[in-house]
Order: sequence, then structure tokens, then C-alpha cells
Amino acid sequence: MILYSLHKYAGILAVCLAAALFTSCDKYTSHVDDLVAALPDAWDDCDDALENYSVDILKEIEADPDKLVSGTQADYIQFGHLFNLTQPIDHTARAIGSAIFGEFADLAYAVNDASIDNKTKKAATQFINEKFNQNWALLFGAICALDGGFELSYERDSFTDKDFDYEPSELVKILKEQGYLSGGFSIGGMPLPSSSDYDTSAVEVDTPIEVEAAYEVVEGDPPIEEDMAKYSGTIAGKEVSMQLFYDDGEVTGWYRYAGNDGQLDLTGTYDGEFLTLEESYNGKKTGDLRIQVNHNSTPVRLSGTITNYKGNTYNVELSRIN
Amino acid sequence: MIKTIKYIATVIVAGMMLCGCDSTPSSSKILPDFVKKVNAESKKTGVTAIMSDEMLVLNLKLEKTPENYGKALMMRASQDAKDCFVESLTGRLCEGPVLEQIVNKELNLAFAITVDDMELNAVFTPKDIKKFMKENTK
Repeated sequence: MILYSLHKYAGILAVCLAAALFTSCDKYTSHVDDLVAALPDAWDDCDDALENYSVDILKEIEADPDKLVSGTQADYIQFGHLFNLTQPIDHTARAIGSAIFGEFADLAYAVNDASIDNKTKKAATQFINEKFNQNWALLFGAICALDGGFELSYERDSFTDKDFDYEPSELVKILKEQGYLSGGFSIGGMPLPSSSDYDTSAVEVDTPIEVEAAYEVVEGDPPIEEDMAKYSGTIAGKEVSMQLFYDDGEVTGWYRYAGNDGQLDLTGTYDGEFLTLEESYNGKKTGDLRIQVNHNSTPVRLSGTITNYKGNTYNVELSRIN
Repeated sequence: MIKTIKYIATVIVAGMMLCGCDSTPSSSKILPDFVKKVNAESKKTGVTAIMSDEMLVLNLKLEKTPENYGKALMMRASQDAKDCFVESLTGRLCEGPVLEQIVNKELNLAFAITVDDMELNAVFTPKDIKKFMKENTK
């Protein structure tokens, strides 16, 4: 009888067992795939936001090209994302100059015209490099992101000018030389461990990945105050620069790691010997610092510890530099 | 009787075969297995994984094209793009044994995008992960 029952239900049992085990296997694989796909998919999702931001940047600079070079004119052709920056020659001034100074002014302008004729792309690139700032970086980044092009023109009159075209690869080269393509930043405010902290012994990777400590980029320069003290040294063995603002026992400030533009905020107190500071990012507490101030040394030295949110403690060694 | 034995044998064989498949690994092996699996498929997916004592990092290494450099530079400067990236990431993560293990082991989960020496990182703490696991399983 028992055997008969087994006979009757064994087939169904086999199918159920197989289905259950197969679902379990597939579920794990599915979660793994979800997690791995999240990164490239999220990057793809950002495409529109990055494109819109890039277009906005180009429009902004078109409206105010003085951000790049004073006295220039800009023209952004959205179709193809071509951005033209022109340095015009003021023909009114030329006419007035000629009226007053006669042949001498004409000669001066002739020399100017000749200098434009003799301009090379190397000279144009040198001109860009000399004027380079954050706005140039944003302009070039936006053009690259949109796979557009850049043209620098020297305009003598409405019929003759001299143009230099730059492909995105050439813009990347300038950005690299200007140092705008190095360093990292994070969305989340937590420093990543250095590559030496990674346990790669059990992992087979063709090319080891180096992820340096990185922080959120904070726009603008920190405020400058009279009671400001600047320090440099190390935190957890990594080079940092720090600024603290003292105000009757209250202390505020920030520090940042070398090679990173972003900063971590500090607030706390100073009792004449010890600094007790709280480290935060985006208003969220990320660590505590307890630092002794040694006024007897020259320069003044700070030494103590920082304890991160996980309870790990690291040494802090700093010296005043202003 | 012979048929019954045949069915029982089918059950046993099916079980043996399926146990041999890569089903949910034991708890202690989940993360090392995950890292191995990700790296084994990195050529296909473009994503590699590295685990430290404090963090599991998934890294998407982008091709060194001007467009990727430009996008990364724009991402660095645009808060909207950063928000969009984080929102998309959190929306795509779901409950599962890997995330559970990350939370249990108090690891941080970092997503890194690199183009040459440019880096974009999004880091989630176990608290963050718990939050979106809870939200995604509502």
C-alpha cells in the first residue's frame, strides 16, 4: 500500500523538488545579476541628465563668454554641438586710430593682422592654456560629453579670419594637462579604502583596480577669516590639509585629503589644550577627533586620534603652516 | 514495484543533479562566491568586484573615450546627475542573499566608475542598504 502511494505521488514529488531547487538556484543568480547590472544601468540612466547639464553649460558660456576670455564672442550651434569662440578686431577703434595717428595706426594694425596670419594651432593652444580656468574645463567637458567640437577664431573683418578646430580628443588632452581629469569624488561621503587595504588574495582579477580615498566636491573656496589656522600633516597615514576657525572656544573648519577637492566639515571646542571635534559630511556625522595642541613646539603641532563611525581609530599628526 | 523504484530513482537523480547546480551558497561563502562570479564574467559585464575588510566595491571601468571623460567631468560638477545616479542605483538594488550578507557583515557597498584615473564613487552603508531593502520589499 505504501509502495503504491509512493508510486502514485513520486512523479509529482520529483517535479516539485526539481522546481523548488531550480527556483532557488535561479533566484541567487538573478540577485547577483541585478547587483552587477545596477552599475552600468544607473550610468546609462544618467545619460539624459548629463546631456542636459552639458547643453546648459554651453548655453551659459555662450551668453557670457567673458567667463573664458574678456572681449570674446561665442556661438553655440546646438546641432552637432559646435562651440565657436571668436576674438574680434575692433574696426571702429581702427578707424579712429587711423584718423588720429594716420599711417602709424595703420602700420600697428597691419602688424596685428600679420600676427594673426602667422598664428599657428600651437600658439592658439598656448593661448587657451594660459587662460584656462574652471569655466574652460566645464566647456571642454560639456563638448566632450556631447561629442561636439570647438573652434577658436581670430576675426579681422567680416571676410577674413583664422580658425582653429579642436576635436574632443584634443580637448581631453588639454584637460589632462590642466589637471582636471585626475582625482576622485564620492556620492555618499565615505572615503574608500586605499588599494593596499583590499584583500585580493582570493580574487582573480586581470587588472587590479585602484580606488583612492575620495570625497564629495564642494563648490567654491572656503571662507578666509583672521582667526584662521592652517595645518598640514597626516590623518590615518594619508596627507591632508586642514583649516580651523577659532571663535572664543568654539571651533569650526574642514579638512581635505591631498589630491581631492572635496572637504569634510569639522565643528567642536578648544579648551586651551585639547581640540574636541566632530567630523561630518553633508550634515551627517562621520567621526570624532580628539587632538592635543602643543604650543611649545615650533611650528605648533597637533597630535591625536580620529575615530570613524565604525569605531576604528587612526592617528592624526598635523603642523601649523600659517 | 519496478515503476515505484523507477520514480524514486528519478527523484533522487533529480535532487542530485540540482544540488550540483550553483544554488544559494552557504552563508559564509556568499560574498567570496559573488566576487568570484562577478570577476569571472567581467569581460562580458564590464564590472569587477573587490572585497576588503570594510567594503565590497563593484567597479565599472569605462573605455577611455573623450565622451566618457566628458561625462565623468560633468558628473563631477552636476548635483542633478549625481542624484539621478544614486536614485537609479538604489532603485535597482533589491533584497537578496548578497545584500543580506553585506548588512550582516557590516560591510559598505561601493559602486565605482572609472575612466583612466577619473573616479566616481557611490558608497552605501549597511544602514542605507537596510533602508532600500526595506523599501524594495514593501
